[in-house]
Amino acid sequence: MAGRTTTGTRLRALLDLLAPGLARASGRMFCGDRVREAYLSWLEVSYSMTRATVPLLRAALQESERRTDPVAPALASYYTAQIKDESGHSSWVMSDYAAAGGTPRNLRERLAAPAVARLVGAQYYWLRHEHPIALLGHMAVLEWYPPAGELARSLAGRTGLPGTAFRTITGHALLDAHHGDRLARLLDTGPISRRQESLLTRSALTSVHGLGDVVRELVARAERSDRP
Amino acid sequence: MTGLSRLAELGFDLELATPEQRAVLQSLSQEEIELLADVKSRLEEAAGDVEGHMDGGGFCW
Repeated sequence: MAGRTTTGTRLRALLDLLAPGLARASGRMFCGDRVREAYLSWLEVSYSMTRATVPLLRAALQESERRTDPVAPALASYYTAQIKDESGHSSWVMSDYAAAGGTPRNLRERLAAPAVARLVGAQYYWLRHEHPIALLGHMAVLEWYPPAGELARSLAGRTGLPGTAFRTITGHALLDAHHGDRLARLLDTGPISRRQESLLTRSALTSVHGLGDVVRELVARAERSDRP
Repeated sequence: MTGLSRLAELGFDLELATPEQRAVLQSLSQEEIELLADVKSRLEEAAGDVEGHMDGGGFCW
């Protein structure tokens, strides 16, 4: 098997085992009666995650440029391109939040959920103290299982909100497919050592674990809001 | 104990796993297997008994 598969296909095979569970857990975020409130909560959490994306990529780029191992140059190129593509996405969230009836200033003023800090913070540890390739495990979790455009249509129908309130979902549905392919190419062709592959696995599992906790907090919030 | 039998013991249903997935699972270290099983059981707990899923699939992020 080792001769026929790549780091990318092995990582995807592993994540595919967990994807249905995370998708089912995510589905609970919007299955209550107060879908609009649940969507606003989702945007609040998305803002705290999205604003961390470019700084996290910059940290990974900085570490990649400092390393001299064979995969470092490819990582630096990859992170440079990714920074360009991800810049400005937190403004999508702010614009959606305003279109959904929220006050964008609240997004900047509210403190992030602890689960988000754990999810993002873990990646700083992996990339600083192990190797910057670790961030690819986190990105595989986020880029290979994007929200579908169908989700935006469904939420628009159930909340009565205009289509302009869902750019974060529709934008990522389109972009993540392209980003996912770019990531897969790097994982399939980069000179990745056995230890680095183990780190990718560990990072990806940490992120699935962390996203599960983020979802759990959002579901709890939605269920509290549904109570009479 | 192999990785697969340890996963089965931890409640991991491997009936639907592809040959490629089985091979990947076989290659994991004991520590990775414990982590994988822990993550999976937490997700199942978070999903509860709700049959719903994200419209169109995916995780929403």
